[in-house]
Amino acid sequence: VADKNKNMKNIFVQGAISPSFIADSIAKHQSKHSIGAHNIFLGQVRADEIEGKKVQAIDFSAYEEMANEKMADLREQAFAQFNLTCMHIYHSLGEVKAGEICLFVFVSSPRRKEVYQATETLVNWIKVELPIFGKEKFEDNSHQWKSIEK
Amino acid sequence: MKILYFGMISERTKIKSEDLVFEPISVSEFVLWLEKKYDFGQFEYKIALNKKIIEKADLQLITQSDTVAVLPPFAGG
Repeated sequence: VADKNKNMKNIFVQGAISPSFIADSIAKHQSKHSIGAHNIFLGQVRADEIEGKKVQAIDFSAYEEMANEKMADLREQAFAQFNLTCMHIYHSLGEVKAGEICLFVFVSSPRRKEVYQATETLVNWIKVELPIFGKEKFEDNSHQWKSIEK
Repeated sequence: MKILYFGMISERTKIKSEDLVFEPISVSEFVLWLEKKYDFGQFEYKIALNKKIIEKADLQLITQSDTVAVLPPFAGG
């Protein structure tokens, strides 16, 4: 349990993930000279149209303790499966407007090939395994609950 | 035991958590109690016992110090 707590990071940030936060994350890797390739996945809130109504924003909530614990396991699994130097994952909580970023997955490796596979695998795991919920809000103040099956 | 409700499920229960005093009951008995109390009907959900997903039919006992979460479909990313 002690080890798990040590490896556990909080992936959640309040509101949208800003482009400057992403830029700063990239800049922080300039001193890590074993890295030869980065790959980044950004999830953006899409203005889906459902029965003539457009999604204005998604209000994200999560079982944070469980999600962070699960992510620590997945992080370990990803390091075991791929040759990665580092990995950073952030997900929004609260309201994120259409066009804003709600998921940021950033992996780095000495070589290119691994980072594509790692990113794809991690994004799939995040969608399927983490207890995160999204309320899609429409312009008329009505809402529906987002589901990854769509 | 502590029960946590999330997303669409918490809209139905109108509360996000509750503390209940129970004699130890199995997960499957708990699910029956839950269905009866909140009439989830067609709602899709999973049960997590102390942050681990567990089958709704599981016979493992839930005790007073446990936390149970009722989780609607995940929608991260």
